[in-house]
Amino acid sequence: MVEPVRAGAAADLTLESDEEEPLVLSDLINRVLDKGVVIAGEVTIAVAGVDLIRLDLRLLLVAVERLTRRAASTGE
Amino acid sequence: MISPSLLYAYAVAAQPEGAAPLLRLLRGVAGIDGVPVTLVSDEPNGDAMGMTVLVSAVDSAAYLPDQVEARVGELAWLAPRAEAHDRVVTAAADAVPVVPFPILSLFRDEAAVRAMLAERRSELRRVLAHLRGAREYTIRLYRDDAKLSAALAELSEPVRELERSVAGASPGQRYLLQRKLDEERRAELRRVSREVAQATFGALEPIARQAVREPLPAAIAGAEPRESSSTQPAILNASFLVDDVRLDDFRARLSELITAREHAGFRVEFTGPWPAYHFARETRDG
Repeated sequence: MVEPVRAGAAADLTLESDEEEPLVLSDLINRVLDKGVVIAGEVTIAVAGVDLIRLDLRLLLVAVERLTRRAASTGE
Repeated sequence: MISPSLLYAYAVAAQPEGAAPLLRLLRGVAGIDGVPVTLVSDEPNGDAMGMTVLVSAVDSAAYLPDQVEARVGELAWLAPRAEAHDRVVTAAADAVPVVPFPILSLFRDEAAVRAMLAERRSELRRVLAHLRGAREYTIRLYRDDAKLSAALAELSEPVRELERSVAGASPGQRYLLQRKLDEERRAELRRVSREVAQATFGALEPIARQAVREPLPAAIAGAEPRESSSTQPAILNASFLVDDVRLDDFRARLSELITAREHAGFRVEFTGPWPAYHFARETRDG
């Protein structure tokens, strides 16, 4: 029977050379991002009490977008 | 500590089941910036369920909103933090059910963390109950264009017919018919892919506690809408919350699907268990 493969941190991936692994990195960031929240440009609203610090993460979305495009252009 | 710190929050677990195993576990796990992971717990009155939050104290000078916003677009800054976040949440989720925070969730102090717990207690409790006894798995399906093209005539009546017409056509007609056939092949490749993706998801969804289809990872989905350089485009990206006791059923069903699809040129990537990144927020509807 098919076995699930551990990935992400569980697989001991090192992303130090993110130039080589744009796809793995963008996938990981997408997972830890909670996109439902960040699409609005702020992390936090879904989990926020008033004391949770609000961040504008639009730049992060731009970075992820750039990564995925780079991955696409290498045909990976 | 000299400069004041902020609390970086990774995930929430239930007390008391979470506290002891998490403390043992987290001694060996480096958090963000290599800072150790600690717990902020609360002890509500009465029979309300206590919660515990995994946090790291980070230097406020480096994580004030304008600091983060200035650097979050730099991958060299972001990558190790995304990795640390996933590392801590994964270690915790392997031990007890946890609700992950999004990356870069920051609180001013312990009082702020406890205020959040007090405010969200019933929702967190619902989500933790939803996650108990199950783990998240992800399935991606990739199409192998070379193999699938070879099998396409078998799978598609219109392609078969056009191939017959091309074979029997005069040289004058052949050029136009061949172009039509190429178009038909591309369209059928997409149609067959959609059907296989839907059938795969549909076969596995009933075995899972919850299932979600996601947009295809942009990087590997380049084939749609324009045909990309990739010859193994992703056609399905789905995550499943699978009961531990049904994991073998799930794997058996997936094995059957793989056996049935292999010849036609599809490849399955089956990863997990993941922290419940996709199923920790879906409580408002349920």
